[in-house]
Amino acid sequence: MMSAYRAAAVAALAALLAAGPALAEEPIKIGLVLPFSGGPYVPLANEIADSLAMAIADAGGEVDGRKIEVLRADSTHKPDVAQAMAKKLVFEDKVDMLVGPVGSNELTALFNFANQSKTPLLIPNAGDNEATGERCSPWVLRTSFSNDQIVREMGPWMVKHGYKTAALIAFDYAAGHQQMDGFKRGFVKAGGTIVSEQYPPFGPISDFGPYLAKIKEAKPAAVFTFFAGPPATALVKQFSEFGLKDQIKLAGAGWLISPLNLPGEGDAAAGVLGILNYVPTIDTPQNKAFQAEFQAKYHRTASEFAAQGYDTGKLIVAALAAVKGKTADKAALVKALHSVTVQGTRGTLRIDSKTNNIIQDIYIYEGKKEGGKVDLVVLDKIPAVQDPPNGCKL
Amino acid sequence: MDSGFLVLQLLNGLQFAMLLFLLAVGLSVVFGMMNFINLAHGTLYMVGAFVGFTAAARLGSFWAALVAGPAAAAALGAIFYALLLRRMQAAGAMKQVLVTFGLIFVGIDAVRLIWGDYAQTLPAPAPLSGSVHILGQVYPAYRLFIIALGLALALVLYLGLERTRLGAVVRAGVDDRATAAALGLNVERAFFAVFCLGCALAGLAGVVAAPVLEIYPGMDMTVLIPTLIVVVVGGPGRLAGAFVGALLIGMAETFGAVLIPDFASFTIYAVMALVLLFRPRGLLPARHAP
Amino acid sequence: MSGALLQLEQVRASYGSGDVLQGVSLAAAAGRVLSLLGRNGAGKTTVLKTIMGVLAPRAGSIRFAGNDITGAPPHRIARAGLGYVPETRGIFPSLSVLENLTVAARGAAEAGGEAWTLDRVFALFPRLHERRHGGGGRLSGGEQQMLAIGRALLTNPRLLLLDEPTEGLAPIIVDGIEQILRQLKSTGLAILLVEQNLPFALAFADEVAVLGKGQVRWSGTAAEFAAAEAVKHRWLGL
Ligand SMILES: Nc1ncnc2c1ncn2[C@@H]1O[C@H](COP(=O)(O)OP(=O)(O)OP(=O)(O)O)[C@@H](O)[C@H]1O
Ligand SMILES: [Mg+2]
Repeated sequence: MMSAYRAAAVAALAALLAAGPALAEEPIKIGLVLPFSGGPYVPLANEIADSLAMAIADAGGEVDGRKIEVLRADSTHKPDVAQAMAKKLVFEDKVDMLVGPVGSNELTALFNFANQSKTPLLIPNAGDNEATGERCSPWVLRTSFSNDQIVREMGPWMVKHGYKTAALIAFDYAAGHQQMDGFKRGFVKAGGTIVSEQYPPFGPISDFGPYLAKIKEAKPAAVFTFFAGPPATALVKQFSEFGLKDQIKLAGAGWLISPLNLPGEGDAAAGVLGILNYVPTIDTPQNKAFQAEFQAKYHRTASEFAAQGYDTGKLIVAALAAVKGKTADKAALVKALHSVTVQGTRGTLRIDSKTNNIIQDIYIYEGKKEGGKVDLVVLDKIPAVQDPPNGCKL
Repeated sequence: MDSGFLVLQLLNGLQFAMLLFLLAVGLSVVFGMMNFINLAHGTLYMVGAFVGFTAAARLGSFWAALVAGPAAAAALGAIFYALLLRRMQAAGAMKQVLVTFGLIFVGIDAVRLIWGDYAQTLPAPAPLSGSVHILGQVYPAYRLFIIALGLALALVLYLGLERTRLGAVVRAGVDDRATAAALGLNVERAFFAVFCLGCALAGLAGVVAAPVLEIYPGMDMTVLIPTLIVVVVGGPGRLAGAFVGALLIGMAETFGAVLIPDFASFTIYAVMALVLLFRPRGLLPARHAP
Repeated sequence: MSGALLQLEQVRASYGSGDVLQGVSLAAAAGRVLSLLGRNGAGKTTVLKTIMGVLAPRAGSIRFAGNDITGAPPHRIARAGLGYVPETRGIFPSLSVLENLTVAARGAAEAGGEAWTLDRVFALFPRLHERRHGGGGRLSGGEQQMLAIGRALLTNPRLLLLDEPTEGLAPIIVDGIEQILRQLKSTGLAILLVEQNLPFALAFADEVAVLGKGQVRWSGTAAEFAAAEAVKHRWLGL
């Protein structure tokens, strides 16, 4: 009797133990290191984080019974803080992967930490070519773009559409030069001529008067630029105010006429060309659903940053599903990120195992004035744009 | 260089020079009056811009900004004068530089706390947001407004200083403060008025610059160096010096940026070095009593 | 001497370390000329600066027309009725001659005699009228002195402080200034005159005070002073 009782107790205990881990399973943790306060990218950080959380919630918020938890850490726009936050997330909070940063200023700090600690890092915005080129790491993957990937197809497209001479202008820093070089290579190869190149000092000063006078003097058919945020608004407006718009086509990496900038730019954005990995008006069920959900929640059009955040979340969920929620093996997690293909807001997305950069569609679009305000109209789509290895040996 | 380029650049240079003049005139004249260099002068420029931004947002008018920005800068200047400047006038130059340099960072952090870390924009008022044809070129109307405002204010300041009693009291005080006071002139009050006016002009520069440049915490740092150079090049202490210095530096910066882009960041320093080589006390130094 | 217009009692003042004035007591009466004499560096200019508040006294009291003006700011002291002609003349070079005269001009505090006006000053100094539109910095030494006196008169003072008005001037100009001062005295204006030029000082002084080593060592009427050979020898080196 005693032994029967004992056996039953042991059996019950065993059952409890077996069920226990499933019931009390640790959540999967994703650590976001973004500049939530400080610096010019605060709105971008919020767009990315909010949309990423939205994508995870849309997928049910869990994988194979494990809840997905998103931890936000504020890098305050400082590389050393970014690194300290990443360390804390990985060693104290035990996150399974990191997401960050917004700007290239914090990229090296996060990149090095992820590489050394062998933590998967997903870059949701910064476009430095080398991060998925010469300096690539098996642990650092990019869900956004490389600078070159954004602009590479624009040169030939513009020559084909009759713009045979161009002036370039971008801030004097790595991304500025990478974007201009990427455009220039394709443009010159297709038979175009660069008549003027200007690289004003990187900074918040956005008086383009002197540079516009120089461009006017060079009389190009088009101007190709790379600016984002308030300087982009300033350039678009001043380009029009100085009367250049009537003679010269303004084109640029698409942030120039981002939905975040359009309200400030007003009519000046009409006729401006952009090339980017996302336009809010992409006509797919996935994008329409995303825009509808974002609009309902935040009462504005989701920007390319929000789209990148959402797609990053979608890729994460797909990879987690592929490993059935088992995140202990980080190499397997990276492998899963390489293996999945998702239909994101911006089309079919896949991470290239040769470079760790995303393979995505690139859109060429134009500001068109319709019913009192300027909308972005897609002119062309270049499907599945993939970076060459560029020195990356994975 | 084609003539269109030259016309555009002269206008751009003139426009930048007028902003520099509004900033430098207070700094220079205060230095002449009180032998005091207020490195935090740029803070008033920033505060003027931010207060102007808020006023424009609340009242829906750029013209409200044009009043509120300078008023706030003048009020802040008055507080600064009462709390610090009066006590620090006798202190050595080193102490003044350290304290006012520290204030720059206090100012930036305070603005961050109040307005956040975002860059803000203040659009030009509707009647000035378009372009006009001038000398065969299309030019932004708002920039012409800056030029006109700067020239008009320079003239008003000149007449105020040369033709009014307050102006005469200020000049007398700058020439020989002790004698002016011993003749019954309330030099301190006159200087206080001029100090506040200088602060208001810095605040005005902040509002006026906002539609062309951006408003952000730290915007004062980008104008501090050019402003100091204007003061040094023009010769501290005089209105005409600030005006001529602003013209020279405004043009040097504007043309340097595109004609010698590789050396653009050095252009104004080179101009300053050259001027000081031949005129160690600046182009139009103050005439002090022996 | 309780009826004195200006009264200093035990005034101490310094430019840093060491008191230049070590307890100066002095009185000037309304309508009279007091000559303050003393060797180079005796502290005569310092006395005037301290009266005007340009230099704050460290101790003692200064009363003017019955009011305590010790430690008051200079512009208040001046407005109480003190006209100051500094040793350096203090012409404002950025102001025209006319502006130099008018910048500090004030009406008479109380109508004691005829008020000084621009016309009266020009009548006194026709030379200033000729040069009225010129810059204050372009005047000769004599003209500067005239301007400094005219400027002080236009504040309509009850007491005029003159610090060595003849210093560095040609004899003919000194004569002119002497004439002017006689005229001023005859209007009943009280004058405190600091002078090194003894004959000039004594020409119209009513009282004399002798400053030596930071204190007033002797005071008396001009007639008494004329006979005080020991004082002249001991404190003026004559
Ligand atoms: N600004 C000053 N700083 C320091 N010491 C001073 C200053 N002015 C005067 N002194 C000193 O104070 C003392 C008195 O000077 P003060 O000018 O009053 O003499 P003074 O009697 O007017 O001489 P003088 O006849 O040469 O004009 C002198 O020893 C002088 O060196
Ligand atoms: Mg003396």
